[in-house]
Amino acid sequence: MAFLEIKDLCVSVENKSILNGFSLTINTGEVHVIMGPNGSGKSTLANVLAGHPAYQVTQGSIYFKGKDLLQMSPDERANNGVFLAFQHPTELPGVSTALFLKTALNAKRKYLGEKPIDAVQYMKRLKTRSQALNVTDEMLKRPVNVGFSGGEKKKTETFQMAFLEPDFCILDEMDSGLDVDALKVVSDGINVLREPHRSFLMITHFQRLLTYIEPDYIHIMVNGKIVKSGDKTLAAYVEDKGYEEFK
Amino acid sequence: MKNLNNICLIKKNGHFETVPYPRNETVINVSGSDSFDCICLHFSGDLNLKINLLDKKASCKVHCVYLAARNEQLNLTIDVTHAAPDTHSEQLIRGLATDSSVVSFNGVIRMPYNSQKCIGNQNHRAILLSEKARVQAIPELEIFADDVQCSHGSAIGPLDKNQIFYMQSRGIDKKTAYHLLLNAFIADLIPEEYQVLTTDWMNTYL
Ligand SMILES: Nc1ncnc2c1ncn2[C@@H]1O[C@H](COP(=O)(O)OP(=O)(O)OP(=O)(O)O)[C@@H](O)[C@H]1O
Ligand SMILES: [Mg+2]
Repeated sequence: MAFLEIKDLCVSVENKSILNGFSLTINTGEVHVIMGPNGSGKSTLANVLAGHPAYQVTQGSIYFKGKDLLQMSPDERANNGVFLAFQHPTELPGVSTALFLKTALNAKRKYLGEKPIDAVQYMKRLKTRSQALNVTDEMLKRPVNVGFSGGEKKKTETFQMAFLEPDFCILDEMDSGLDVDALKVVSDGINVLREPHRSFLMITHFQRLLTYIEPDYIHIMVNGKIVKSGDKTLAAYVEDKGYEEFK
Repeated sequence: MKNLNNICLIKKNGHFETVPYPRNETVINVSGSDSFDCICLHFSGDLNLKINLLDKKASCKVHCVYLAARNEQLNLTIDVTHAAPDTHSEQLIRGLATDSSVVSFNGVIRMPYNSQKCIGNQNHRAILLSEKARVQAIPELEIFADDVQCSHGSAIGPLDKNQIFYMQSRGIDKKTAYHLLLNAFIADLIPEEYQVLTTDWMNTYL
């Protein structure tokens, strides 16, 4: 059984078709990268995996650890181990990051039939994971994403992921808009999560990220489907030649 | 479900105390350098406060949270007159409206010719939780003095679906997501010991 199996996926939004027969299989422990021109449907794919209600799946299937993902609500998917670090994370006015993550963690524990986390353990986990990603205590107290700079949003998305320890990490342009030091911090934050039971789908425009995080496969996505797959050398090729020949 | 009665709290000697809910039109005169600070938690019927700031340095802070459900009709009027120079007023209103409730908020700030150096702020925000709920805000500013600061703002709309989705994407179910967001929206206006009432309301009507 594959970890994730996407077959012939067609997706439209507001009657405009965006994904046109997208297929991809990811096995446990693998790191896959998707690159592709602006508007090719990368974020749409990520959002569909997370269950965003604006996107209509018109054809195809997604199986995650043997379960039909398309039948699950977004929160069920999350509690089954799917996590999307968003390209443009949403602001939650008035809801502190600390409270948000505690609620999220306990939701998952409840889903799995476990007791809520005790306060000491929670603080410990929060501290370890936030310090690793340079997320300050002050940021944890602030409402989720409100007033965060572009780079801070990427760091806190990655921090949320590290804190919740999902099995399937989807990262939509976590490297965009980061300074060199921040890129290193975020990459390290992702690398510590690399474990045999966890898989990654990373969307990026830059080969630079892949010097920090070594991928198993790279896929080129154009017009809503994969047009070429290869190993990490494909990224260098694209950076050099562009997407023209794949269009 | 307990009957949710309107609650009015007024600050006395640094503490908020409950007072009988103001019925009909209620006139409050603030003199000297006093401050009239009140918090209203409003579930049904009308509220009509007329506040006169009579002397220099007099001020008022009116915070109101309304929660409208079923076919309740809420009419809220807060009418502040800056009758002396250098007086300050603040009106902060947050509301939730669901089912087929209808809410009207009328916030008035009057600054006559002699009200130099006055500051008046009014802010109203409401979240519509059903298709049928209606909220309208009618701000009225009567400003005749030139050296004053006066601001007002109102925003009425449904809860942002993206916020709900974002929370769900972290494993939080829809109902909990609503509660968290709506609590965050009104909580800073209500003392903690009264938040059980708003939670009650949400449990009943959401
Ligand atoms: N919610 C939406 N409503 C309307 N159109 C949408 C929506 N989401 C995506 N689209 C459209 O679908 C197309 C694909 O968008 P998507 O965000 O998936 O591209 P992308 O590959 O992630 O691009 P980028 O590299 O710029 O992030 C675009 O034309 C976009 O305008
Ligand atoms: Mg994108």
